[in-house]
Amino acid sequence: MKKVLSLLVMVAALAVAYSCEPKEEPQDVTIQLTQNDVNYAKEGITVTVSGPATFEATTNAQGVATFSLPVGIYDASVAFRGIDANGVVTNCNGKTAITVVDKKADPNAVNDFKLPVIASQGSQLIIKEVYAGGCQKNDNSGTYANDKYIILYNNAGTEVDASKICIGHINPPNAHASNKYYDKDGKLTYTDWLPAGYGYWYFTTTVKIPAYSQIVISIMGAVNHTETYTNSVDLSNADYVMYDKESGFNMASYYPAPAFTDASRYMKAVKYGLGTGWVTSNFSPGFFLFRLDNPATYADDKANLDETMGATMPNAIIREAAIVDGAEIFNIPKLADSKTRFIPSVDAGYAKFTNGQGYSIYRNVDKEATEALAENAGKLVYNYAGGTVAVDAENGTTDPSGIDAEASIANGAHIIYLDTNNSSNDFHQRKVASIKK
Amino acid sequence: MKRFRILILSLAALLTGFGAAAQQTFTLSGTVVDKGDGAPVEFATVVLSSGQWAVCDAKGAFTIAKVAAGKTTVVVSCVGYVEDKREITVSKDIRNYRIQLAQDNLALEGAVVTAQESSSAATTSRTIDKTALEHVQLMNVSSISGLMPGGATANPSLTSEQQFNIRASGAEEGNASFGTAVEVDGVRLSNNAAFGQFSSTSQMKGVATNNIASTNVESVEVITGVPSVEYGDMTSGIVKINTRKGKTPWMVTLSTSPNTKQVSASKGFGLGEARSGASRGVINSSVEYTRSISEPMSPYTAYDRAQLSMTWSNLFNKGAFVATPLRFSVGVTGNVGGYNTKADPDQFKNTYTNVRDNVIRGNFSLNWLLSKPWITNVEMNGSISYSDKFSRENKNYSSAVGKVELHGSQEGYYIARSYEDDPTGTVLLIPRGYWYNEMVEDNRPLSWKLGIKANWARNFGKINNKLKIGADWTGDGNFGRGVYSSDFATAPTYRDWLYSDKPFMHNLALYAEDNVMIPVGREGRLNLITGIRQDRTMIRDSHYGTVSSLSPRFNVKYTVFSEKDHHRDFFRALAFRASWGLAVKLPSYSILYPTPSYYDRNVFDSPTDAAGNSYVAYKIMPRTMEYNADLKFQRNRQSEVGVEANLGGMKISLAGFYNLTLDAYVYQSEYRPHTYLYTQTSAVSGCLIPEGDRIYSIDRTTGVVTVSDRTGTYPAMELPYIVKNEFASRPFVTNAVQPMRRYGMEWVVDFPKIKSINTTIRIDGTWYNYKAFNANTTAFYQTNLPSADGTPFKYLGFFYGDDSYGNGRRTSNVNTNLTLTTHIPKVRMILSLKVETSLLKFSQAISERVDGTPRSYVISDRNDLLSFTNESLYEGEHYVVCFPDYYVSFADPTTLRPFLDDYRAAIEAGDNAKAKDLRGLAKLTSYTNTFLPDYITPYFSANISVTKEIGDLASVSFYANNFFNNLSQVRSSRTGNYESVSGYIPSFYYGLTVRLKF
Repeated sequence: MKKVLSLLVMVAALAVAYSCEPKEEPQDVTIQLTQNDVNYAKEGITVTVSGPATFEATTNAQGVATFSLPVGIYDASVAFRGIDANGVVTNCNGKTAITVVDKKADPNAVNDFKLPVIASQGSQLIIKEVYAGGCQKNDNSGTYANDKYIILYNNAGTEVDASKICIGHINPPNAHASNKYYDKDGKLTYTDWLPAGYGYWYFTTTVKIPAYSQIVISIMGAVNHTETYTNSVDLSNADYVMYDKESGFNMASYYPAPAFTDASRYMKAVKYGLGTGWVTSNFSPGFFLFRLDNPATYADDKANLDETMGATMPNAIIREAAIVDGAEIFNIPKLADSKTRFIPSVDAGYAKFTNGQGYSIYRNVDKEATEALAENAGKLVYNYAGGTVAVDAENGTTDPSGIDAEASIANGAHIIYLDTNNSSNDFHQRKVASIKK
Repeated sequence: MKRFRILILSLAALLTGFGAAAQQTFTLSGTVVDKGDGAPVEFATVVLSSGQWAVCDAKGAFTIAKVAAGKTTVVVSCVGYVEDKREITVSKDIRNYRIQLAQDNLALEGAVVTAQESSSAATTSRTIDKTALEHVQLMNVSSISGLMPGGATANPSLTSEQQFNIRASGAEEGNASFGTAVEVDGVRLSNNAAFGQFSSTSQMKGVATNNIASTNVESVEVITGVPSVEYGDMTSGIVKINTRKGKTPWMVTLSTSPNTKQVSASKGFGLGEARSGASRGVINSSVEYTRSISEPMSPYTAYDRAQLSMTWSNLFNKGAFVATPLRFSVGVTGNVGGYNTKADPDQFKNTYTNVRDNVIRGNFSLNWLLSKPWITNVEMNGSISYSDKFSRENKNYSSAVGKVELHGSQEGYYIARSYEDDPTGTVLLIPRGYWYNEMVEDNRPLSWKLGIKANWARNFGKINNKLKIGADWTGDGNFGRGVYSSDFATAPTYRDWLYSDKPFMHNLALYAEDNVMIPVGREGRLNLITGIRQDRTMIRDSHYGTVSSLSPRFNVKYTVFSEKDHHRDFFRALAFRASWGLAVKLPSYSILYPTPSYYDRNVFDSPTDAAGNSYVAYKIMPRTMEYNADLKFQRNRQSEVGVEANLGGMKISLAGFYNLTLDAYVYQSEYRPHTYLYTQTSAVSGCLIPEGDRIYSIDRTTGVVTVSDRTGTYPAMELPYIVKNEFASRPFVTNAVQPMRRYGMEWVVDFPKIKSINTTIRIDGTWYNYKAFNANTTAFYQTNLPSADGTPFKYLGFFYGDDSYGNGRRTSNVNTNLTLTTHIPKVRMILSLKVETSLLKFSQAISERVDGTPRSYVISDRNDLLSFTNESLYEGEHYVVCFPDYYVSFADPTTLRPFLDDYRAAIEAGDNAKAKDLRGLAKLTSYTNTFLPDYITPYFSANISVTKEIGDLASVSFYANNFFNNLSQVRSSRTGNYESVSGYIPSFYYGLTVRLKF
């Protein structure tokens, strides 16, 4: 009996010993910034590594940031304003996935990574606001989201010609959905183009936006939604509306007849996917603007369609050179599953958004550039309280510049918005849609 | 028809002539007593193989007169006792024949909890008796499918509709469950009077078994082979449910399982005797209440079933009926209940779905034993079943702009009007805001049946012959109003269509069957059953008129030797059987009168005014053909062979079957060219009339939109329009050209009992194969894809079979079950462990033509649809394309043009617009593994059941399904993905039942 007992104790001890896993030690990781395959030697740039936890480190004089990270898979990213080879101030963004391995287990493993930095110019025509999440119905029966709109803005002091501009939405519509464009290693399979899903819209007339001015484009329903849904917006005076029933986008609930009959204010659509409504996302909208010479016939050419998502769901291939601006938005409850759909040169970050509450994603004011404009003296309104930090302490965002853009514009100021091609810095979640008075 | 009548009459005359010749007859009389205490068993039934019967009186005595000389089988049965079957030779009067019946409980050796083959039947037929039903704790009668060979257990559910599927699967083509007949005590439950269940997306389903009470079921017989001709209007087998009859003590059951609670009570009251000594009969009454919820976490959405049934049966054998006793029974069953989500607090306020499932069934049956030389007995039965399946659904709506709904059914152009302006609501404008609307379906089907059957049993020397002739008259109809809304002013799009408008469907069936038993050699027996049935379906004043169909059926069974003489040898019994038959399934109203569909084209939207209203105009076109004059009735051609053997105590039953479903009902669409006028919203921009004064109207025939001024200041303005050409669809019901093929094998092996552990082992299983592909020409049109030039799509393609890259499927399954039953009579307990395995589960999409030429092609480059390789479709990963055989264009809708030739020519000529349009008609697979064979790795599930009797008073049963809680994964060979096995086996579930008998 005693022998049995001691044997049992030994076996138990052994089991416990084996079940204890050796603790993994943090590894030394270096990240080298590069640009055009050449080391980008600049000191003081903050490199962020995010994964199960977020770490930050600053680069040394050689452009190398050093971290001490547990084993795992992370996203390393960097965003800053820099000076490119020609001495022009540009936005620099970089994002890459890194896998930190245990050097003890595999002495040949390397934990040194390169982070390519892409420099891109800010553009004159930008997306100022995306309102696509909908609001609560009056009787609390759910969300009403057929009142979407997008605002395009001329961010410079000269008039811009937006006649050839097209608006598309990225595919997959939801960033947290499974994405066929991700390969087994967790990388996007496209690097220099974006897929526009289901169709895109273009203008039928000459569109010229004056300096520091906007156009409001109603995505569904250029009508006054507030008569039924008081939390919604009144789009009956939108500048343009996406309304083209003959294209095949003819779903009655998405496209009621607009309140105005001027055909030049109707945008036309090119539809190449299935369905009677243009698919956009309520949770994680991903609109982008691009310029095409022949929007009506671009999708006829098979070379411009990509069928990775299926033969019945082709996506138009919008090449990097044609893209003007884009905004990646992730849904806050689904942040963990969200994967970026935009290439770093268009948007290297993401804005955080909660749908169904009437919030919109609104661009931050470029404090330096706006205050530098002489005509703005005394017209700028500060103490901006329109963000969502108060309602969402963890993920709510507000304009770090503190400038209340809409109030300032009402005061006659000219606002220059921040455009670093990184939505994490460029946008905040606004509590109330800007066109709602 | 005339020839048939002559045949029947001459057959009857011939046999009557035979019968006139004298035959020696004797009397058989005796008593039936309880084996345990010797008490007489009143109401025990004694039946001879000739069909002659007698019922025991209060002293247990019975007499059968005019028994023909020779061998006959005596079967004695009574509710609560085990059936006693023996063979005797009658050569003189037999008196004082004493039969002892054993009480049917677990103290008895030989209790079985599995389905037993009916050895006397010449086709595949299985009976599940009371012990097995109690052991399985029946809640929904469709659960007995798990007791069939290879059957898989499913957790009982009442909140979703359950049907029987015999030798088929619900996911197959050919309306498989619709062809399975269900009878309760001879009352046929019919789904023929159902409307709106057949559409392009759903097959016609069989009758739902949810409202059949499960606690007073005495036995269930499932005939999966070729049944007797007395059963008609079925193609895939029949399930016969027999409820308890006869004098029984009080039986109270209480049953519980995670989703369902049930309580029931029943008793058979003997009414004693009248002064004249005649019995007053027995009343069986039973009451049952069942409540089933779909989600234990939210026990509000529930299905309730409250049932009361009463049956009075009596035997008349005194006075005028002394020599010719008459058994009579009449019963009524009422069921009140249904599905209700009203109380569910998780649903939005005031929204609910409520479906009534109220039924009242009445039936009578009469069995008159005449024992005359020219007729043995006459049976008459009738039944009527009336259901109320009233369903209501209340939904919440809201809209930012006025919502337009359609209710018009006349052809023409119409513009939206508010309810006040147009109460008929042709195009109804509902003002913006929030509202509720309740949609209702008033569905009240009625079925009735009247039947008469005459049997004539006669021995010719050693040959026993039984002739059966009968006639059935059935009717189906529906009194419901159909679908409508409680509040028309806010009703969503629907059109009035009365079910009660449609004429009743009547069916007159005549059948004759001859059953001959010929002894062969010393101990062999040859049983031949030949039958023919003619159904005449009459639908008065309808386009269908009268349709006639003939169903011949043959069964042969050759018993080489049976156990009686060989129970010490190794080869104890051997029998072979073969069957062939035709069965016809009558269509339901859903098939004869498919719900009319309307082709609604939006032709104009006025700009939305300040009140939020856009006056939307539609062109309404009723586009349904209410009948297809060439519609044939769906038939099943069944053939079967079987072997039954007993080798050293091991009982083996093998059956192979081959079924062909011919002329299956299918739902198809055809297209016609259609032209309409389209007015753009921007066309209003030139109008001078101020927005608030505009009245929009549309000409009903020409479709031109006019804007007029309410104040009369400005002249009315006709808006400019565009002419659009397209193809409009119209559905119809037709028959499938290519039959569905099902074949396979069923086996059951019962090993002899291992006495040391009181355990019997049974292995049963099926090997089942299915192949079907669509060979009907299907039209295909791209409704929402404009042509390259912006006009509506101008081509209509015609595919061979489905308008898809594949046009069929073949499957193959091997399911085997191992049942270990341990029965300990001393403890009165039976424990069974059943392991259900799926050894092979194979499925593959196919694309074929009847003549074997290719239908789809493998391509190497998905951007070039003509890059054919010559690889086989079914091996390797690649994209597959299928083209229509022909196409027509709107400009020339009658000329069929070859698709592939024109597509090639358009590409070579560089005609990009035409090539892009024609490409819209081609079907390309989205994945490269679409046609790969899909093998699901084998999986298993184990169930355990225990029943224990506590004295004679109570019994407790407990079962657990999937008690190993198998949550492993299976892998699909086609996609390479792993998925949880919980989609194939029941989730862990248990149930407990307590039965009291006093």
